[in-house]
Amino acid sequence: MIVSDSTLVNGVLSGDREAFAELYNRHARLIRAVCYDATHNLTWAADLTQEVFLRAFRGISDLRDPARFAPWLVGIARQVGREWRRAQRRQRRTIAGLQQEPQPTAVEEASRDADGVHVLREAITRLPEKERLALHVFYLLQMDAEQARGILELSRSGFYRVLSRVRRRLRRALSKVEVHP
Amino acid sequence: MNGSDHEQLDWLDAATPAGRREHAALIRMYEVFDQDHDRLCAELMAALPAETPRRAPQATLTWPKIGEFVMNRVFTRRGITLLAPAACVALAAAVFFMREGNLAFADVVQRLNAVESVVCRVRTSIMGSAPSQSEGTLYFSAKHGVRYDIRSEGASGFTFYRPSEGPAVVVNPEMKTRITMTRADTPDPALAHKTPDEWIRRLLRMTDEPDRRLGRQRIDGRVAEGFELSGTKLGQQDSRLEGTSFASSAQVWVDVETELPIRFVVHGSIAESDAELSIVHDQFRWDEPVDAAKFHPPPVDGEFDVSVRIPPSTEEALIAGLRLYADTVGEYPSVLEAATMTGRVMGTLVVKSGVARSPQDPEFKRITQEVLVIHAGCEFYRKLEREGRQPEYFGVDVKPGDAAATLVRWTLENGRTRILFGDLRTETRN
Repeated sequence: MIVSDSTLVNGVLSGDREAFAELYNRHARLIRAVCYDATHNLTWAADLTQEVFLRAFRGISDLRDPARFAPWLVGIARQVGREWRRAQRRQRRTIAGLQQEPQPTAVEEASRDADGVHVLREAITRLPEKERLALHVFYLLQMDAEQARGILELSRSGFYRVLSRVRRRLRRALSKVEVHP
Repeated sequence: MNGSDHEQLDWLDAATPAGRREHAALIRMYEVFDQDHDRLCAELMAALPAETPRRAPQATLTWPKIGEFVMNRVFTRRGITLLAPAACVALAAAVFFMREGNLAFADVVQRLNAVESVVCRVRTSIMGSAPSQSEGTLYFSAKHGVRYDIRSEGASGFTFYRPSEGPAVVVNPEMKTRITMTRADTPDPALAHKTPDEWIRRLLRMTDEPDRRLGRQRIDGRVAEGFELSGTKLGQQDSRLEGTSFASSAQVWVDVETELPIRFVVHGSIAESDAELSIVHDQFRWDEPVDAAKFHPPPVDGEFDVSVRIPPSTEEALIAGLRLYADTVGEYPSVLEAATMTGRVMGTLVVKSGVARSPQDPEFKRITQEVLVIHAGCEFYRKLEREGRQPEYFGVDVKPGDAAATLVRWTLENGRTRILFGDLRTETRN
């Protein structure tokens, strides 16, 4: 039986640190994707994800409805992403030209080299935020549609409509390149 | 996502090679987010604070004076102006964060309840492609209302009045104009999503500690202790995924002797633009007697009165607002965001009609009134969201006049679907 997020959150509040590890296992991939949307860099996305979960742990007692852990966490990730972008802009202003960006990891490079993946990633970055998030949720969360739609505050049918729209857009982008699955 | 859900979507694609290869490429692409997961998990668990987070007490904070005043009103102006009174009220709430542990919470509540008025300086800086700066004085009285004097760089200043009774008024003394805003219908308090009172309500519910303590420093000759609050603490996690007008983090500096804030800094950004802003509140004067006359604009000889009325928030307003936007701009907006839409339409209409940029031109008044239907239409859409009617807007994909494309749709109370097409024709379907 799958333990709900709500039960895990209550577990964390009762001092069960393993419950928080389980929450991390469930949601870290999605949060990395959300952070990647802000940074366009996997290394930074991984770092920001750690920050997101640290803030979540510190602030978990703020969460009024434990069942809404996932949307709450996504909200933190979006805020952390915004703060990161702001800090980057400030840094660029003060030390223009000196900034060293982390190099893409081997996995990142490999995935960029794979046909279609880079095109997809580019296409995804141009999607409206809601559609991008719907796609992330669909591919990265191990949960049913009922929970997934809750993150986007959509009806079940609305969630699938958004997904269908996303996939139409991505298909158009992919149709421009030859892909070898 | 479980297997059956994948099947639900797969049937859309499995029959086509394009669908299959897209699905495969997406799976491959998302694999990168698995990278180093176990190591990162172990690192995070090792980095967690040793202390177990404690469930926050479910205190209900009421603030019958200043807080109630703000919470019972729906502001109709955009975030920059609105944020200042919001932030001002918020800062009093930030007094919560001065103490740790077994804070006598009731004492803080009592203290907040005792606040009758505050006056402070507000300096706003907008950074981005169109930078600007403004400085103003904010008067906030539980009894009399709000007054905000603003002086902007390179532009004439104006004063915003919201008395405790009566309509909001904006007066520009230099241009000798007075804009009075009334509403054709009673605003729905639930529509306060993007207004300061919603922020304040969230802020007042916070019972947690600040994200970070900033230590002590001298400010204006006083010893102050600083606290930082993330946007998350301010309720950002609940903001809508689209059209968010403002996100923020804040720093509060509290005079250690009086235990009242002496500086409050808010950082934020504005959706649909690259603009970022910071607002600094300082030079606070707490509970200083304020003259009731300050909250009512005095008449000025030769003043031009632009009285406008916000139309009711109805489906008709939504259609009229979208029609006005499409006729003026030539396309539908990508997001239904009232401030952005009215700004663009207003600017275009003023240029097109050759109106002198003086609000004293009668044509200017007509245009001002005309664009308010956009506000009403956007409010209608937000109301649908609040009522769980699942509205969806497709403006980014729809051209004006397209009779086949769905522009907006939502669920009616009887479960049927209301559709507004690209040619602004409506239809109800099962």
